[in-house]
Amino acid sequence: MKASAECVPLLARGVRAASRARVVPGENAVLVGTGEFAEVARIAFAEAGAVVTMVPGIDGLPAPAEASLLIDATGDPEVILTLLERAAKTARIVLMETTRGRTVDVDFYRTVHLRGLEVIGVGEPEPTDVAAAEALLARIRA
Amino acid sequence: MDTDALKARLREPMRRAMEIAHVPPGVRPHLQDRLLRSGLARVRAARQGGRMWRGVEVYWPRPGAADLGLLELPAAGAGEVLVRSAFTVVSPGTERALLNLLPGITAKFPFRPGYSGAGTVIQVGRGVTDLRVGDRVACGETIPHASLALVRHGRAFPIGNGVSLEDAAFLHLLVIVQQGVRKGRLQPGERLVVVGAGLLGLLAVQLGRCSGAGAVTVVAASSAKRELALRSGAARFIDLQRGDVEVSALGADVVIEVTGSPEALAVAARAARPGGRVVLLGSTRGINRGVDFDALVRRREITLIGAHISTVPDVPTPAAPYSYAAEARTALSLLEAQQVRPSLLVQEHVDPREAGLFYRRLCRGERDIVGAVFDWGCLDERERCRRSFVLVPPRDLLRKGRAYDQNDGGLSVLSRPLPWLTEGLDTLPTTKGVLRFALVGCGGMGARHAQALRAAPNTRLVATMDPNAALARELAGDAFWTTRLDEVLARPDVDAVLVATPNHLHHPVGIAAARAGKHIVMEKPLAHDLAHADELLAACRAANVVLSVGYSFRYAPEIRAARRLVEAGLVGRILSVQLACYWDKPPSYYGSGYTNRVHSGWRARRNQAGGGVMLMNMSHQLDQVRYIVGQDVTHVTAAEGTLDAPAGVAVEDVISVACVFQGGAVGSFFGTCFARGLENQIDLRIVGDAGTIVLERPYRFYTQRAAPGVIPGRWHSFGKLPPVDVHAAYLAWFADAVLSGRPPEIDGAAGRAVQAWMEAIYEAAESGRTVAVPAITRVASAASGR
Repeated sequence: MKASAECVPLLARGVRAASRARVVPGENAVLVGTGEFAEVARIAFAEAGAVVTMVPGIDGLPAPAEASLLIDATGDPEVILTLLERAAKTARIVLMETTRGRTVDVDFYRTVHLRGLEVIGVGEPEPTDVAAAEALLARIRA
Repeated sequence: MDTDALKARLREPMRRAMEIAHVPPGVRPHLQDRLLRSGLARVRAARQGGRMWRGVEVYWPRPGAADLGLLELPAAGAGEVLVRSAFTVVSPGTERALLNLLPGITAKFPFRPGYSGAGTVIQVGRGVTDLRVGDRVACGETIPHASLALVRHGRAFPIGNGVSLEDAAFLHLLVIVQQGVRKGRLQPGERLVVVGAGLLGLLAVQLGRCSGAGAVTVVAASSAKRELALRSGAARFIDLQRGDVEVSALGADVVIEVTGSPEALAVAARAARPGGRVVLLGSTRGINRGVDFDALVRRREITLIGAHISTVPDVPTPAAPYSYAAEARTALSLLEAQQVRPSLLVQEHVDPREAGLFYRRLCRGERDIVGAVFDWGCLDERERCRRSFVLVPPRDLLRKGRAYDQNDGGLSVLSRPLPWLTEGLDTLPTTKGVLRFALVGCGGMGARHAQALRAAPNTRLVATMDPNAALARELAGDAFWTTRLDEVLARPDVDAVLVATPNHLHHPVGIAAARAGKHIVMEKPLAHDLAHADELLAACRAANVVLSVGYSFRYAPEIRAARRLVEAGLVGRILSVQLACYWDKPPSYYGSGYTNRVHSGWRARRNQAGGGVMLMNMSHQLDQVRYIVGQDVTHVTAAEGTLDAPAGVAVEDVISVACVFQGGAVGSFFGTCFARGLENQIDLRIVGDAGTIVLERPYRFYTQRAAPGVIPGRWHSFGKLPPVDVHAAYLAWFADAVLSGRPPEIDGAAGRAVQAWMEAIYEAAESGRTVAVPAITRVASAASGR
């Protein structure tokens, strides 16, 4: 990955996601996605203290109990649905990427309610997130 | 072997045994379930020295049906306490969903519902040191709607003196809601929106206020629960149907969705501010179609939080630091401080014996049921809680089982003494005095009335009149007789006239009697049509004489018993009335009636009789229906025919009527007088929302209401009814009313009402249209010049 100023907007989104996810240091996280966005997200979550496992798609998802934090960086509603289905009880699922208008049918009772899941939406970063991303980038460069 | 494995192993042998024993198929699931439960309780009891307890429990034998059944429990084992329930709380939304088997529900029937309750400890198991017999406890786990409950020691929480058992009974529901509020991470001063105004929603309002919410807004699908929401502490109530407020303008920090409807999720998300939290507390059973996660949560940074009670741990963990016990203790302290008052939401205290009726209403979707508790104190102590022993057989299991056989059709009728239903049905007046009668018309009915006038304790036949001297003389006995009406009307020793002439003569004879100042008993019908009936009524009013119409069969004991059932509320709101009357008249009837005393063709002529089988015979049953249900008919449609009568008969011998009553009940009346082999067979069925009366031998009723001696949800026989001479009883009570200065029970207005029904029915049959009874009444009044 390029450790350049071009990464800052992406990294800022990762920082915001990690902040909204209320990462507990040392907790296991699984991040689904590939490419630059997924990579900077991994860095941001790792910086927040999570032990991040990256998988390119839902096929590589580990057994449900292994992660209390699941991060979607694909924006694919089918992936999100699979995360809801396979998440461990009381897990948090972070939605970082836009679904671009694609939809899916969801049984919120069986997935979210019954198993106490938390689905966290992450939107556009704010100036504080950008500043944090810049600081993080500076630390990486150093 | 665990319980489920044991049940699975026993199921097949039991099925075969029931087949061999010819147990009806409808009873089998119930019986199997009961026997298994009873057996398992006994196995456990045997290990503990054989001590058992008996009580009752709410029981759902199949979807949509509820009843109260026998509960057998072993004595409290190690780490358990036995609680005698005071109240158990109904969770209307969830229980409705379960009982109706709504989509997403996987309940297995027979099923035992229940959520939350409170009561008194009556036995403490080994190892329980902090609870004693007599302690009042709230049961902090899913406990059944039952008079007794075995509760794990750690889930029975002692309650302080400042907390009522009714409030404490909500503990489990309070914990359910409180953990949801907690998961929403509500901060002091934050705006809270509760979507849904059911029981849990309104508890969320109360607990949200306790958690420091700034202002609580309730969003609901209708205004029905506005008052209750405001009383619970909501600052604002929004009715989505009115659409006067844009939900997205609410900008809530925390939204608690507690509707049970998938569609509400979008409303809840809209109500949240960007970055807000939406707690899914309601069991939104069903699929949300076409979810766009971007629009729902990501773009506006909404957090959806699932908050099912099963995710609250028994033992705290770093990730979930609040255990069930911690939540329960917090809830109890809020109750103690009276910061939450769940009993404010209780609108109904349900007698457990009426569980069937209550759940029927709930299943029907009565949305006004927000808070309801089963009040186990309604039961007598022996039914509620008694000691038993492992060798005492559960005798009522088989007996009770028959009630669950859907094909039973009410054939299993209980015969229990019901004094409140049968006593006094043959009572006659005891007031002093005698009313002296002249009998006008000495044909078939005249002879019957002469007999009744002699049988009644307070009437005397002093004169008879008939154009046929032999008939008048025969019925007079020692009394005066004549062939001239003016002679009997002129007699000062005649107080009242009983008119038993052909129908078309009721009017002239009645008016003459009224003008002579005589009280009148008019053989039914009041007249041969409504216009003449009205003229007769006007004449009686002008002369200030008492008029009654001889619908004497109203005094039949089964009719009066049926009225008592309706008055006692055991039938509930009347929904349908079905009357079928069968007679088998000989062809000679149209020339000489049933008795052949007089040969005259008036019964065959519409302008003299006024009608056929309905007016001549069925009018009695119409009066009985009106008396029992206490309502008039408003609209009728009808068809009639003369199909089997001798040539020249111009009145109907069969009629069928569909009608609507004032209260909305729908009725059907059918009558015929050519029913071979069915002479004088009357079937009357009255169905209400709480029960059914069947007036067809054996007379019986079914009710879901509790009453002395009645087992709700079972058929009961009327029992032995006293013999009553209905004509004598009718005349005795008429005489008593006149002598006491009271109006008679079957007054002119009652007779006129039945006449109006019949007039409307005949017009409907003739025109082929639906006829409004009040319109008929107005036309008749105009015709009679009043």
